[in-house]
Amino acid sequence: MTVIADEELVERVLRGDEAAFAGLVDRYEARLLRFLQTRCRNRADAEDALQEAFVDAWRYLDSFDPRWRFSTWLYRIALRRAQRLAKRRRDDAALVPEPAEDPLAACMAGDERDNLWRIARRRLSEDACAALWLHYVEELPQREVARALQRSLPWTKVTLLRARRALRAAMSEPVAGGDKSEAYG
Amino acid sequence: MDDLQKQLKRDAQALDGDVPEALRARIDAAIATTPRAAARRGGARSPALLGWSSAVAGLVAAAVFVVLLNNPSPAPEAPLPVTPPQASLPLLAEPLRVEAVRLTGPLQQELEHLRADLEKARDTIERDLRDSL
Repeated sequence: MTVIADEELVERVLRGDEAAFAGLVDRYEARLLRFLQTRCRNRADAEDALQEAFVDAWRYLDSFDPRWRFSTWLYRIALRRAQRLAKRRRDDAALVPEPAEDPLAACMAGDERDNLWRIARRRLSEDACAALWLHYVEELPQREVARALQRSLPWTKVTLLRARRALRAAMSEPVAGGDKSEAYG
Repeated sequence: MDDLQKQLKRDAQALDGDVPEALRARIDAAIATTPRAAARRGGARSPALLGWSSAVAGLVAAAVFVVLLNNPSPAPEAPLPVTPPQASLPLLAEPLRVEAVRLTGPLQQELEHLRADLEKARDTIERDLRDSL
């Protein structure tokens, strides 16, 4: 079975086949939702950011630059949406404080070992965490990661290196290490 | 792919990525009610077109450069007159004699007429005001 490339689906939408956008949503909804859970403070926020990201992608699809990968562009939109949502929540929290739940806590059930993304969230900066995800999970080249994060290529390379070191160090620590944050990147 | 990379991928898959039907319906409904924005001209330009336009611009710039090299701009034939520096003015021995500008006859006459009209108008207004009060 031939897999249609993202960019081909985008072309179809731009030619008027608007139903082709559903194919892109099918392809990315779970991946984006997982990614957004590493960025947002709870599952509900991640779902809101997911919806807003797809709506933005739909709205501005005509301005998609084919020199980018579609996934890079979509993750860039999702990152921006997550940032805006986080800012909105901070503003709201200034009025009504609300306890934050950890969306990654669910993945801990029945797991003896801490999930690496939970460690990354505690130990790394948001952008370093996103760089790790885009490079190692989405398998985007470093150049595309830099584009998605709107950072330089050297920053991306150094951040990935430091993030790997930090994670390795955290993995070799005893389990009762506590929640110290070093915020690499 | 080393162990850390494998672990990162495995743990990413362990995160809950199930999109509930209600959420998907919400996304579809939001998309259905959202109009698409018009394209920006610069955004969707293809790399091939960009390459061609850059090449043409480069050729034009090179041609202009060659023409300028072969036809240097001619030097000015006559030197421009040099005005004496302003600093020499205070060194004049005698003060300048300045005469007031005189209006020419017709203009002076026209000014007199306008003044007369103005006086008449003022008199008329004052008279009307007195009558109305």
